[in-house]
Amino acid sequence: MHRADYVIKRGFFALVTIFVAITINFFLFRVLPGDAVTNLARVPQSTPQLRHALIVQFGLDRPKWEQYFIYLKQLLHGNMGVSFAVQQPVSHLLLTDLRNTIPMVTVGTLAAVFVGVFTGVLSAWRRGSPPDHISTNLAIFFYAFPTQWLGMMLLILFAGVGLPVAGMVNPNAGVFYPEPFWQHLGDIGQHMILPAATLMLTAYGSYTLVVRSSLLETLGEDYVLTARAKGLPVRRIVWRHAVRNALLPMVTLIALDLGYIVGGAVLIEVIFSWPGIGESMFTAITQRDYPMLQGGFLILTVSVIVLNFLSDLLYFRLDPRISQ
Amino acid sequence: MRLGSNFNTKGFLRRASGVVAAVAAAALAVTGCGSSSGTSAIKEGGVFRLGTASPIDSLNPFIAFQGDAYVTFEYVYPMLVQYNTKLQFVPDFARSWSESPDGKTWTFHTQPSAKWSDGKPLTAADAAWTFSTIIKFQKGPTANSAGYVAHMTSATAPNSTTLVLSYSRPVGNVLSQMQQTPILPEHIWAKYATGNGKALKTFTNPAPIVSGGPFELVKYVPKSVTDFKRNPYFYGPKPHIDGISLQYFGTTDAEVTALKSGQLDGLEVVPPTSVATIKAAHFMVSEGPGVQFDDFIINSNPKQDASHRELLNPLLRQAFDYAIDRKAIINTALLGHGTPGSSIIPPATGHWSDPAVKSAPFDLAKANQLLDQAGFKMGSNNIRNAYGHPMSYTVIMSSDIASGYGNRTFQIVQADFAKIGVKLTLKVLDPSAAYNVILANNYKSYELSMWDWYPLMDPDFMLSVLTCGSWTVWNDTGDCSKSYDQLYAAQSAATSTAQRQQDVYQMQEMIANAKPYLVLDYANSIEAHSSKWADLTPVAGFSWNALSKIPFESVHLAH
Repeated sequence: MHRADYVIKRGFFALVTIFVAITINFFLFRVLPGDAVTNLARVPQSTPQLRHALIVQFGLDRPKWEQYFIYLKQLLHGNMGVSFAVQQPVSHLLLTDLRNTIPMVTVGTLAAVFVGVFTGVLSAWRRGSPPDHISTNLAIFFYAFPTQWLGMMLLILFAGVGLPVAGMVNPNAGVFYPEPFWQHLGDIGQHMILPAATLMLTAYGSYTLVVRSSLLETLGEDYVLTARAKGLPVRRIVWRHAVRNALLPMVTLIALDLGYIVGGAVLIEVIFSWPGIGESMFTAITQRDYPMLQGGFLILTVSVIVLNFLSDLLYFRLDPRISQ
Repeated sequence: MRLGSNFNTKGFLRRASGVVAAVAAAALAVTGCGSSSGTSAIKEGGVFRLGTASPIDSLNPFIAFQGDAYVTFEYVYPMLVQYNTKLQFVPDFARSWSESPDGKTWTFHTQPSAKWSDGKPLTAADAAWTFSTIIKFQKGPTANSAGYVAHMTSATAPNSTTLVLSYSRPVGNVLSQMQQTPILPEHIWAKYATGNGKALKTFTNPAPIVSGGPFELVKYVPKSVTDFKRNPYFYGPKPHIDGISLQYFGTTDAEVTALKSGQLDGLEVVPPTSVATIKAAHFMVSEGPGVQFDDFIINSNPKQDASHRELLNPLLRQAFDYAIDRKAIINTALLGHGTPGSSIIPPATGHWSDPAVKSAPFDLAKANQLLDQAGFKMGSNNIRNAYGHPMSYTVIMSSDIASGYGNRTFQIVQADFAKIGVKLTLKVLDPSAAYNVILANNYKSYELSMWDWYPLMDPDFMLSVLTCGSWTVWNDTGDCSKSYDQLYAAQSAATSTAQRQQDVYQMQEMIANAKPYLVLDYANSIEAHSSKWADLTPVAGFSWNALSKIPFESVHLAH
């Protein structure tokens, strides 16, 4: 297949998928029981008239299809609407959330990738040995743990040694005492340890198991046998020949996980009170804040699709067999 | 989780007014170390780090609906009056007030020489502008504050220390309304109150906020941190502490852990399940009777579906009341931190609660007898039949009470109801969906529900919930009667406290007889703080609430 054809075909499917996702996102939240004004209309001395006024203000009195086309039109102009709950532009709110979420989830995911690859290689390399058993069982152990349970355990265990258990920064830093820039970064890093560690521990297991399986398969290939026959050192055979080929499936797995970064890790953000997009989406669902939900899920959808598209392109480059 | 003082989502009401509303301070019990500073010199300084499970959703009073936002307004903005520890109205920005003989004009004399935190004059004109703006835009941008100005026709400031409020008719709860209304700085807000006033809702009111209360809000990170510094220009008693650092927690377990590890100085609210742990860690735990109550709701719409019209039968309602084991609920679901429920105006609100309204004793034999008397015969499957159908009902429960208290309570009620031949099935929905199921088909379809309320100290709001005018907004029973509505109107216009109390009592008795609600229990209000702080005096059971500025004016370092 010609590279340009491949890119065009994949690009077209990505666009169609995004459009379908936008449409589903719009209607999905509106078929949930409950509505956007039930909560907001509940003020003392409230009246059915106020409830109706809010429905009109939010445009919810119009037919669904009309609301849908208005939404599409706004979206084409780069306007994601205004949050029903806090009356601020959705794009601004989501941007703030993403700025908080991405660093924490990126650190956790990258740590999971590194630990997962290392332990996966170790397990395959020492197949059947005690390190393999320990590594594989630990990976399954952490992979099977419910995130909220593991998070709470880490929180309880490490709060006593001074690790912050909530938020991104020391609450009174910069207000009641000065905090220089580097100290501020260190503060954020310290607050990130527990949530990122929780994410790493719950995610690395899948990398370990995929890498182990893939590497075992690769180690049985003829070219590895040839390398051994040539007398190359084992370390070099594993790391320079086998691992490089075994990591191909990791490209898809990592791309998928990176796509979910923008979705945050809802449970982790709630447990550690991390003010990110995951927690915002949770709140928006309970409030039926349709513009926030549509915006948040749109970003999540687009990021997953775009990163998958990029992983396809990377695959095309890494594996020449695809183009043949 | 429904209302309370501030308003909007049930969620809000739950947290917010939970704090706002509250408890009789006189009955407050403090366990742990003593807190009085006595006559020794007060140590100044320090930042009180307070943990909360209620995020501040907005700093704009015309948008916010989460509880801690309203506590923030209490400490940042002047209010005309506030509650003291005995739940009496005492001066805040208003030093004194008077009511005209016809009850239609209220005159407040405000603090002279007061200033906002930016040094600009804080006068009665700011108060007049605030009330006038709410009146002007009450059908639109300021709708969430319209209740504060109900029947108010004008607000004027004839001079810098006099505010005159005029009403179209006497209003019985003016001081309660004034206690809740933050006075905004006109020189900051006036430019947003032009045209259709929509800008009043889009203004974020960013930190640092020009403040008039004892503290100035200097830092706000949504869903995370809010910092308050002592306001040097405050017209009232200067706080002893340098400031307050309010930190939001997504889970109460994390809050408790942070307190125990020294990352916090206090918790706004302590769940019953954490009391023993916190006491064991030598923190001070304050506990007293609360105004929050849990309720069992019976569809009271006279036109409800025929498939469950027996729910209107007074004998059935009495039987249900006898079949609820309130002591078991308190011991199991509240771990002993509560009292049996009776009236929808809780005793902790003081003289508004009718002592004649008593909860029914737990008596399954009596309940069975009443159902037999009603003609609902027991079927072969141990489920009674009413009008040709089995007495089997779905109980709608909001998810915000389900995970803790709600499920445990339902299990107790379900088991006891089975013994009187009534089958209950639980259906948990999130608050928005739960209320919509109750509203569906004009209250004709739902059968039973369980939820909770956080009433205000003044009974007006809680009584309004059962009026016909509250249908589709707050009413969750489908109840609607002209005689009740007439009494509600009478109490709200009463100029004499004694007359109003009589009306309020009569309404409580009507509710107790009709039983749209079976009040299960009043949960205690519980908070905790480190012993390094002293004189943190709760008002209505909580220190961090929207009723008063007193608690954080008085708190100081113990040593």
